[in-house]
Amino acid sequence: MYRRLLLSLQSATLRLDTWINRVLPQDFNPLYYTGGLSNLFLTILVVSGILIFLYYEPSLEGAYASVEFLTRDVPYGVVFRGIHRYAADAYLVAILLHLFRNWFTDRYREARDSQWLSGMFLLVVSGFAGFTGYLLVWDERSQLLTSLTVQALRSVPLVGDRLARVFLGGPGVSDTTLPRFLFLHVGPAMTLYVLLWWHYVRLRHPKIWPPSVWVLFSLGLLFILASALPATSGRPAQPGASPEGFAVDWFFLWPYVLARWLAPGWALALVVALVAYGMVVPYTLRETPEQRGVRALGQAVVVEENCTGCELCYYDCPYNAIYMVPSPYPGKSRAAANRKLLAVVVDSRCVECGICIGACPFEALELPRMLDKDVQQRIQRGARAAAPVGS
Amino acid sequence: MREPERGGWYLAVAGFLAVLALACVGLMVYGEWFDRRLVASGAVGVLLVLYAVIVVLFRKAHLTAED
Repeated sequence: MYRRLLLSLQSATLRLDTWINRVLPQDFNPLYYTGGLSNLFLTILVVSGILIFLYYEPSLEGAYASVEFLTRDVPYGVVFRGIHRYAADAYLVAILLHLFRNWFTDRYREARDSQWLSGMFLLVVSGFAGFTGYLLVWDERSQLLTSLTVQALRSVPLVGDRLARVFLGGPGVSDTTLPRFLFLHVGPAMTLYVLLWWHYVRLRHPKIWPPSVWVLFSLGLLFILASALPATSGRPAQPGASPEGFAVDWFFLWPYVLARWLAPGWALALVVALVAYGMVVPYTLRETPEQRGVRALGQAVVVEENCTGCELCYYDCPYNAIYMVPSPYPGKSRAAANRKLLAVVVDSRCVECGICIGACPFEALELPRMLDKDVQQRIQRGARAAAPVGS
Repeated sequence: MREPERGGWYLAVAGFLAVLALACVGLMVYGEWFDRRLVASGAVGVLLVLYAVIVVLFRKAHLTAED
């Protein structure tokens, strides 16, 4: 059932690609750059965040006034605030598109589980940084979110009170609370770059930036949104007041929307359960080699007699699965007789894609279980998937 | 997918968008001059989007190649 669902989603994703490629040149297809777009929006968030940070005062008395000063009195301050606000939404949308695309196209398991796990951490930390951004305005919504979060944290068994204390920077809302919120916003945002390193470290040619067309379009869209629908604050937070309603933002605040029907503790438990499920997704689909069909090719194997140590496979492998080591003995073919290096495949990283075989002009790599008929079958499937719909 | 027969049409649309982009430059000056900054920043946004569309149209008209 799950496998059939994934296959139909994979088919739908490929059809969507085909439709977009009919309208746009193929290398402009935004779905090929969901990771790069996430990175673009993160960069916009960091730059606009630094500009906003220059005016922000992290104190109970000054936070709201400083945000209002930025919005009303600083030239283009309202635009930068809006860009920061909408870039956060766009960032999360791009991340989710990236996640679902890789899930549906079966690029999240086995040798790729490292990217999936780091991606899940990126999603969680990004969501948390986005949520704490709402607290910094210190309007009625921030006050209500703070109150709900404290309730949820206090409901955690054994460590609840301590978690709430860490969140607030003290036993209750005090002068140390806003500096703590600022730390909880900026700290995770900085952590994102460490996680991005983890996300990219095993990829040799990651598309970390979208084409210039999408940079222009995304920036333009953010300017339009920030100008047409300027980001605004609610009424200022009142000490001791308990506001009841706030404008819903589904992107970052969906657990709080659920809190209308669930106790805050249960909403928190649901978030934790979803994240835990996300972490184990790569390990939920166990397949036998027969079920994998032509993908069960076996990890690439170096034909040592033929390897010349030219490093072409090393540079072309997208998964860092090939290393070059000093050659312990000469090769047997004439081209390999004077080699200095020898290619070595790291089995745990090889995804059996066959790129190294295409890269090697000396027939020094092979997929041991790939027969000629498998190659033909694979080419035919690829051609069918790439063909325009209806042809 | 080559569509050389529509190249002229794409270029005509790109030319029209370039004129709109010039109008956006005018709006940017107007917004800055008369302190209507949301108009100016909105015009910047429209200008950037128009540039993006023009780049796509140039590619579809085969005036530019892949990166």
